[in-house]
Formats: sequence, structure tokens, C-alpha cells
Amino acid sequence: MTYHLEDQLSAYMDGELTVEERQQVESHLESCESCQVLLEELLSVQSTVIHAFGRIQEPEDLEIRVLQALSDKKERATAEKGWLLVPLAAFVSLVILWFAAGAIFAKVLHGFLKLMIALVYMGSHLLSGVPVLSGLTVLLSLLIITASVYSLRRLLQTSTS
Amino acid sequence: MVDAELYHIIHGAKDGNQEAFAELVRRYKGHVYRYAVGMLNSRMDAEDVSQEAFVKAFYSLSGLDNEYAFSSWMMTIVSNLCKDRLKKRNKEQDFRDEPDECIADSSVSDPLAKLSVEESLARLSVDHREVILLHDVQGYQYEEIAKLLNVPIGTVKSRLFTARMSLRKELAKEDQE
Repeated sequence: MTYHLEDQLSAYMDGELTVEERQQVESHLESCESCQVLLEELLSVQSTVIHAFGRIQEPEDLEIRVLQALSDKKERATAEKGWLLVPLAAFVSLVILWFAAGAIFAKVLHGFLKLMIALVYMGSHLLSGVPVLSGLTVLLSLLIITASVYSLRRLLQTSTS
Repeated sequence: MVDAELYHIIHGAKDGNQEAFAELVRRYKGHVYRYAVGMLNSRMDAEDVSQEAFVKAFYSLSGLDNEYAFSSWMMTIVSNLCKDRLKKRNKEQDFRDEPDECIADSSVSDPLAKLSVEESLARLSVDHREVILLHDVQGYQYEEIAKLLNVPIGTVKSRLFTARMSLRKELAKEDQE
């Protein structure tokens, strides 16, 4: 049975065999017609591929598209950085505002607290001075609590059913 | 091989020089595009992937250790992107069911002949398509392909032989049809 060197033919035509291997293939080719035909066919396949792909032209605007994509990406990155600066700027503005108007704000808050204390004091004084009014207040409070409990129970019943 | 001029261009682009990078795109766009067409069998996808490959290259160029390895580095980027695109196609189950869009190049006198080679190549496995494109279209030698694909030279040799045998069969089918 003749041993064909078919699997070496591809590397042979690419010049990728050692000197010894190449000599073996060449001497085999001299006497083997089927391997000669196969080699011709493989060379033809290679040439067809080279020819077909050599004729493919890249799109003319590919380079412009790449540069445009790069510039778009850069712009997007800058815009994203800009958005990150917004909360930072807001925080900085608040800090500045606090230092600039902090004293005025503290005074207003202090005055408001004093006014509230005076109002609470006046209300309790008025209630203790008129006993009927305090009795009425207690009654009104009880009424509000009962109404609240009742409405809460109804609300819970409706949601569970 | 990288000549001195190209070395300076790659070095400039690596330093962030956009003009130098534009020159690199001009020089390599044909290689990248043809490889993508061969892998994807679709002009539209090949355009997208080529663009994506160059954008990716621009942002990762600073990580390129050796300027002389730019060409194979670029090819690795486009190869990975093509494989990702093919995986995505397989997931969408469009790869075999629907024929890809193949717009005939108006500059080619015989578009049918060209189409048949691309179509035949598309019927091979991804590994087989890849070695044929890297060797016959891109002109890499076995040793370079082995490094690029991270496989032994023996694998490149046997893969290329099997790929050519399969392509021969596919082209013969095309001739019969």
C-alpha cells in the first residue's frame, strides 16, 4: 500500500517544511499522480482565496467613522464628568451659604424657638386659670382619642378583609 | 515586519497622539476589514466590528508592550470581537436559519465569483476560517499564527491542511451548483 503525504502538501506549498521533509514530499510527488493533482487543487484554492479577498475594498469612510466614534466617546465622557460635578457643586454652595448666612439663620431659629416657648407657656396658663376650659380640653382630647381608635380599627378591618 | 517609520507612528499613537492613531487606522483598516468580512460573511457586521476594534485599540494601546507586535495585537482584538459577534449570532439562532447580508461590492467585476468564496469560507468552522484568513489573506507564517492563537505550530499545520481540504470541497460544491 502506498503511503501518501497529503497532510504535508499544505505545509509544503507554504514553504513550512524542513529540508528533509521537503525532499521527501518532492520525491513522492515525482511518482504520485494523485498527490500532484491534490497539490494543484490546493494551490488553486489558495489562489482563489487570495484573489477574492484582495478585491474586497474597505469602506472609504471607515477611518472617519473610527475618529468620529472616538470623539463621540470623549464628549460623552466629558459630559458624564460634568454630571458628576453637579452634586459636588450643590454641596459646596450649601457650605458657602452656611458660612455666609449661618449667623442670621441661627438668630432667626433662636427667635422662633423663644416665641414657641412663650406660646406654650401662655396656653397652659390660660387653661389652669379657667377650670371649665381645662375640663373641656380633657373631654375634647378623650373624644379625639376615641374617634382615632375607632377609625383605626375600621381601617384595619377593611384592609384585612 | 515593522519598519522604522511605522514604529514611530505606533509609538506616537501609544502616547495618545490622535494624528498618529489616524495614520495607523489608514494603514491597517484594509487588513482588519478583510479579516472581519471573512470571519463574519457580512459587510455590515464587518464594518461595525472593524470600527469597534480600532476604538478598542485606541483605548488599550498604552498596554501594548512591544511596538513590533502591533499587527498581531490588532489582529487579536479583531479576532476576539468577531468571535463574540458569532457567538451572539448563534445565541439569536440567526446564523444558520437566515442567510447573512452579503452586499456585492460594486467595484468587483464578477460579484458572483467573489460571493461564492466568501460563502464557501463561511461554511467552515471558525477555527478553520481563521487559519485560512490569517495565512492566505493576512500573510502570517505558521509560527506567527501559532503565537497569535496560542496553539502549537503542529496544530496550525494540521488545521490549515484540514481547512483547505474542506474549502476545496465547498468550492467544488459551488462549481457543481
